[in-house]
Amino acid sequence: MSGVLDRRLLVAATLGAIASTAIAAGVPEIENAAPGDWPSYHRTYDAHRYSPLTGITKSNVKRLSVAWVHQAGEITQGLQVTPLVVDGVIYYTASYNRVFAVDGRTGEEIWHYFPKIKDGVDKLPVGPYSRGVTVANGRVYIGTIDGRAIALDMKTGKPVWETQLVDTLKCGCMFTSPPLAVKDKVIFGSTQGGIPARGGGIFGLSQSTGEKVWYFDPVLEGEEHWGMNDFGESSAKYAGVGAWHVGSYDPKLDMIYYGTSNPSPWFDWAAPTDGPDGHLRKTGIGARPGDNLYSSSVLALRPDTGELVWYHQEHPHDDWDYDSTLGEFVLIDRGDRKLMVHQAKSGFVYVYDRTNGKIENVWTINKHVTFVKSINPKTGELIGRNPPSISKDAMFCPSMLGGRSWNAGSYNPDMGVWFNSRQEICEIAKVRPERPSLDPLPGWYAGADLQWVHPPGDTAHGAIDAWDPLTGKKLWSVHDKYPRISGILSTKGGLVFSSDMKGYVYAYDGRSGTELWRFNTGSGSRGGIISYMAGGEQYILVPSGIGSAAQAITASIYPEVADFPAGASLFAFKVPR
Amino acid sequence: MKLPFIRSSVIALAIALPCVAADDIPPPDKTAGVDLQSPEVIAKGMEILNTTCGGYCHGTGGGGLKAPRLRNRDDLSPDSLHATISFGRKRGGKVMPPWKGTLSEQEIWTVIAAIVALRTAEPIAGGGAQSSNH
Repeated sequence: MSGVLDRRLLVAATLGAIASTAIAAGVPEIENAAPGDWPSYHRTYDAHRYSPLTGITKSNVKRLSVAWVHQAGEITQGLQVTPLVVDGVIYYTASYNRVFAVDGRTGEEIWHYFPKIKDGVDKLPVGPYSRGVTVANGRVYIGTIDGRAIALDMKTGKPVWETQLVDTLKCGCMFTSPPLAVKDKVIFGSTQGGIPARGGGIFGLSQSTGEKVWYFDPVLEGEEHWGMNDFGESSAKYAGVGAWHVGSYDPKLDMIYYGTSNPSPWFDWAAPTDGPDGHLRKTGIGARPGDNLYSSSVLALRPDTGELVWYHQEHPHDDWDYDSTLGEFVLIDRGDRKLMVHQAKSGFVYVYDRTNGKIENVWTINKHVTFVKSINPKTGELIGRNPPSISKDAMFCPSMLGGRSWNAGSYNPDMGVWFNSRQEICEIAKVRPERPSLDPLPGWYAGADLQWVHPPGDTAHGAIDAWDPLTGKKLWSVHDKYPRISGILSTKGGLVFSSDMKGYVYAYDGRSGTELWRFNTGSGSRGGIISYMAGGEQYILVPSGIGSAAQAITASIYPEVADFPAGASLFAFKVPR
Repeated sequence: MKLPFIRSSVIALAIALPCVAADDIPPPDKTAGVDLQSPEVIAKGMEILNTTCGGYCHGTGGGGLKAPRLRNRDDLSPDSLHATISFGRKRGGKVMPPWKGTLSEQEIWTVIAAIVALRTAEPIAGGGAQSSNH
């Protein structure tokens, strides 16, 4: 289901926003990103994750060598970060929110900041990993695993302000991804999704003071779409919807784009039924009758106020743990069309008109899709739902690991090609109709007996592929026995970089997928590969250190993965002069 | 034979889980008063295991999921289980959180009763990565 505010209001708001954008201060590091910088999680607001540097080419990449290594010193859950670079200084996080500033030429530490994490947080099922920080206007911003937003001085690493945003021990929610700095705000999205407690959402803070300016509660805003559960309670009580990954920003439209998580409990024991006005019926049986808005949704919000401009719910009444927050929002302009390409966890890719949320196309990256028969490419309607049930061991593909995980792809605007990871794993689930509980503490409430399995007639595997992002036409593919769970980098030099679970980082020819170089870092990669300049030279920076649920889930199919060596090191490579 | 008031689920579990060898099972005075061989305790322990992170990590019935299989294991002594559940464990990059303070001593021993009883449970198919260095 989609929604757009009254179109007159939308047009007026858009014109007003364009005028105000011309006046408002912004984030110069991101808006005018220097070619040698990587100042934001996906480098630029459009989430291309693409480097315009050309020093490392298809001809010389075979000479790529290690320049230095920085060890984070904490290997729990590996190193899941995408580092940032501004003016040759690297800013990155390791587990337990350890923040480092490192000289990009030498790997020498400039400063570090290790926050004292509140007691008890280590008992929660989420964390203690961190996907990174954001930098803006002389500050480094981080969301912590104990529910705080913290600003540090960029030069010294000393804390400037701190704001407690969520009660982590009560809700089980926290921050595991970097915030997004937009104009004079810094936007934080909390975890949730699967933990049956309220408290997650999207927060807009003042960059200068840390004051919470606005909060978007994805359940409160859509509470009328959560029915009573079979225990006679409002299912919204256990809703557990967050927005745990980084969004994108269009400065001209003055819209931020965020995705929300799946609802809680993970699985429902009653299939949804159609209701009035295109919504699912909210009166009925089960764990959470109704659409469960705004779970598993794409939201366009105003960064100054958190006002909802438009939305599309990609998985109404999600039955498979398919959230809409894990995929990046790639902004692409084609002529007059202002488009947005969004990877949903279901493996389907949605192409939106980002001005109003109208769907232009929907296509899938996966070979094995059984959770639905299809999705209408013009409306996004799920056709032929195949939900788990209490009466049988239902299999669905892709698994709750997703058709792809949260590791981002990379869009090369010169080629018009999107390089993306993919995984083909299926799942068997038999739902248990139980009342969610927060006792003894807010934890994952699975509510089902689960197994991860090979796809029918195939073996579980991963790949990286090159796609036309608007049509879904595949250009080339590189197969891997295991999922590729690192963020991909593409460069103007015509290269594509990706790391695997065993520890190898690869450079491929972006036109053909031919492997041109590889290096074994010793531990698999979960973080994002980037490129930057320091001292007049181009570097490729690779976080090495396997971890996360993706490793654990893959290990249930390929047991050897459980023994893949852990680590947490940043490897910087350059071509020697 | 007339049975005393015992829930049918407990009876079913007692039938499904034959008594385990008593060699390494401490008496109640060593386990916060919890009788590790009581069918009622074992049933309650399975409930706690399945509904806490045990259910998502170690799988329903301990069959293994993201975390190793607990079912049909003869290498997990009650004392080692008590240490691991209480204080957690880190192995390389993997972490199991500590449950001491979140679960009471009685609840920890109750969960241990269930895991010990799973030694001789019927094997089940499915996940459960068994690290060689668990």
